[in-house]
Amino acid sequence: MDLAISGLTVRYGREVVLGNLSLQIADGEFVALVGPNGSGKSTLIRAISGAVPVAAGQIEVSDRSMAAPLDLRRLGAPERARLIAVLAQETKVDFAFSAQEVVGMGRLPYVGRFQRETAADWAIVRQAMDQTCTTHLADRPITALSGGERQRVLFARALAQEPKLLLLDEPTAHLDMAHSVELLSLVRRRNQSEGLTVVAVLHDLNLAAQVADRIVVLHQGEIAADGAPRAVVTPDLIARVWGTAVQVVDHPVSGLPQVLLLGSLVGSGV
Amino acid sequence: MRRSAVWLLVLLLVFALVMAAGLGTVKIPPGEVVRILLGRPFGLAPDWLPQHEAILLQIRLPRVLMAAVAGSALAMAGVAYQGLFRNPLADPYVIGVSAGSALGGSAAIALLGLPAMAALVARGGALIAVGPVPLFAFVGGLVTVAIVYRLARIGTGVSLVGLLLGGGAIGSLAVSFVSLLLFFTASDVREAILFWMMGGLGGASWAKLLWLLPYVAVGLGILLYWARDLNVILMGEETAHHLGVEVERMKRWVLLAGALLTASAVAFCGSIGFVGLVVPHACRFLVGPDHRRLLPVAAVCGAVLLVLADLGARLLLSPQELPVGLVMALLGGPFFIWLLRTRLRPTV
Repeated sequence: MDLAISGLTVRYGREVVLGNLSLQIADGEFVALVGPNGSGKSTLIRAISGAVPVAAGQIEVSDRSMAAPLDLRRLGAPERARLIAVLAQETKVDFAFSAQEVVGMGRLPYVGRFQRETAADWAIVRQAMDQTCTTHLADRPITALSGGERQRVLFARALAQEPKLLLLDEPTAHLDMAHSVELLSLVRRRNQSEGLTVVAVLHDLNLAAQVADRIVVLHQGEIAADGAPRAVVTPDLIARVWGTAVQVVDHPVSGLPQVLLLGSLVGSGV
Repeated sequence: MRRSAVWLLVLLLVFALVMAAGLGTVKIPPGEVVRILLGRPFGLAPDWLPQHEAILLQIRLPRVLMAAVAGSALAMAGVAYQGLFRNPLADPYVIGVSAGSALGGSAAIALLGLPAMAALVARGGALIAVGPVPLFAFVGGLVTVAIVYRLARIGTGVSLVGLLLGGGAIGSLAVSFVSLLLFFTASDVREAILFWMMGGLGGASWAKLLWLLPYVAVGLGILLYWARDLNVILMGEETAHHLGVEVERMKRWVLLAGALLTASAVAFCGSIGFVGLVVPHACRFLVGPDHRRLLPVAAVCGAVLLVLADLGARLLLSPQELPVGLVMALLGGPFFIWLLRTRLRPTV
């Protein structure tokens, strides 16, 4: 599904978090949103998902199956949830739903009131769990899962929504290296095998360069750079946006750019 | 296993109703209770004492049925608030809704005064006269929960401390307003308010039961309508929005339903705490957190609990009668303390 954002402005009170931002994302792309803290990347995700009010601008999606582009802001929550799924930072859950019940919640936009999920719904749930390697967790309470397992279950829930656009908001923020790589490679697989469009806020520039086709750098609510990882991840840009000195080298295996920290930590004898 | 547990609960409720209807200062054996109840529809020849029939149909039956309906109302209100606040400590009593309802009901009695009530009785009979009190109690409860919710809300979440403190503060404010009302009303009205506030199921009647039912039915209907959304809201409001829940609309309706259910119970039975706290927990343990199952199961469990608590209230110091709220507090207080201790460990 294509996503077209034009003139997007979001304010929190008087503070402008996103100012007149325009961005086109094509069907099947895997786009990483990066930027320093407070650059507006999470806000952009939340504006697309409808979680924050938009002050001005347009957010439209279009697809071969649609006659005309759809204005996301005009859609009700259920219609939007059939197009867009969101996987956010790990959230704490106090209530002991089983993993399968949690994934089943992804069918909510499709199941009517006073109705139960049909066999077809559960088949979609099982497939989503299969694709995220969570089938063996089905009967475990979500409260008893590890952080990595829980994020995979929540990813399965997002897939059960059968979305055409997947938004990720720092999904690996609380995961260790192994689990981060595992989760992002699962996302990448759905992107490559089914053409699922992915827009992901990622904190880790190295991870972003490894996994995304395209990196959009946000800085003070505006786009500072946009392009393939090799074009975007440069010492100049990082010095300008993040304000820290780095060296960029090629990954010895993938050949993709990787950032090495310099600055006062290096050579200071610590 | 879960389905059989539900049927077991329904059986338990029927058993509790029959036992509670039979026990009291005048004992009617369970077999006789069943025969009297089935006597009229099935045309059984009466082999029981006519006094027993009168006691059962005029006094005991409306009382146990009211206990059952009020108990299920409070339990469902507890389920609704715990779901909405995403907090297992929420219940109509703890978050001050009960106190708000009490204020509303007292205000109704004070504002309308006794002559107006007497006129209502004269014109429309007892059925009409009991109407304004639950209506005002409902408004009082709704206003209270809205204020507590605003107070407890921080950013996108509802804080546990804010909820308990806000509920306590607004609750005691409501209670002090009731005292103020009592201070300024004439002595006969004051007595009427105090009598109403003491609550208990002693004044149960078919007329009150008829008034109670629609409140509870509407509350239950609203909650069942939003049951699946209540499941999702437990994952957080933003997540619920992403999964297609119309969050703001849902919150308004669930707050309304909770206030309806609480007010109906408070208006007819006085402030009864802890049913809304104990029952949802026990039921989650039985059938899990899915509200589509949890709501009906909690309704049945709440009914059983309050019927038994009322039976205890009647029997413990017989022929003296304890307020049922007191019995519930004796049962629920320790449970609440246990819950606080297990929920408020540093890791949580």
